[in-house]
Amino acid sequence: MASLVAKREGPQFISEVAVRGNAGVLDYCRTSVSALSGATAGILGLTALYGFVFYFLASFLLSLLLILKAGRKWNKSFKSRRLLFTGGLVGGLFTYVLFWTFLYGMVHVY
Amino acid sequence: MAEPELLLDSNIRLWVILPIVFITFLVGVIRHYVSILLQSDKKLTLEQVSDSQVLIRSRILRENGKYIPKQSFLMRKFFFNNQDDGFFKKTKRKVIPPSPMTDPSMLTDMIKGNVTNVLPMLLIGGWINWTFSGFVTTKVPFPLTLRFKPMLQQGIELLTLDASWVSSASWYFLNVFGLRSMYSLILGQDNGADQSRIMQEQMSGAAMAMPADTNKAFKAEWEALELTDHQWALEGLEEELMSKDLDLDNMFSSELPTGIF
Repeated sequence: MASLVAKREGPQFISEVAVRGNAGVLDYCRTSVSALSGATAGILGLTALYGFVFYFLASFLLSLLLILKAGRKWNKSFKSRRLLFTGGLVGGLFTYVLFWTFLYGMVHVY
Repeated sequence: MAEPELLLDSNIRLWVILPIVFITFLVGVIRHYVSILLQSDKKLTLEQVSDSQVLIRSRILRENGKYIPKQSFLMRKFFFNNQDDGFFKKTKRKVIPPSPMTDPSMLTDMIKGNVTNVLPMLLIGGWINWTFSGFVTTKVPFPLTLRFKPMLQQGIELLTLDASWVSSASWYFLNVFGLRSMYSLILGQDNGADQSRIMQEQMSGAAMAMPADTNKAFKAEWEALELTDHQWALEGLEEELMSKDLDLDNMFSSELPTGIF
């Protein structure tokens, strides 16, 4: 991920390009995880509540992995850690439901 | 998991679900390329560019004024805001309000926006509803209340059928929403197929400053600059540095950004 700031005490200079690039990378990860977890949920045949719980579990796991990857110096790449947790959650939910329904239909209904 | 209650024809799977997925996805991709083709060239005059740059410069002065000495800040502020010949006071641009009727390029932009986004969705939704009607398409994995039945089961006339069994139209809409984030995976960011982003932009675009409204922008900038005061952020710097242990090795990192990745 691109480094946003020069290491200096005091005020920070933020590169807009880097912020957008990092947000794009996060979005990419989030969408991929939603799609794959939706596929697994469909194949496993999870229904209703279990399915949604599974989505939130997978997102949480993704956030943990991202935090691990960002490391101690997450300050250099992100403005706030909360963004790693909640970014793109609803969009990912839609993708998750799509893949979930699709594979559930493929495997269990037909 | 529980046995599915209905057994559906495999042909439905082959000839309904997969085609709808492909149609939705390909229409999105086509929309992206069409929007690229139809992008009207925004003709910017040199004056517009220089005006926007002046505004940016003034804004930077406001935000970072505390890092330059008081004299320099006042000098720049004077250039902009002086009573008689400050830049913001002196320049008056001819303003043509860009209402949709008089400005043809804005009108075509609006039409293009509507045509490329909303119209295909409605048309294809209606067509799919008409072609693939009268049978159950798939089952959504979560239970739905009965209130969703008329919405999701258009064309299926069974009263006792569980609300989870949906028709092809609802499968189409599910696709539309679900594939939105996939477009950014495949087409890269800023793609023309992402409707939600475009609709958000349309809503916030009305609040953005129009380029022809430069007079108002200048006036607003003048007021803001008048209000800014100079707070010398480097005050007492010499004492501070002298009293601390200078850690020259760690002061500068070699990780300054030179590119995006």
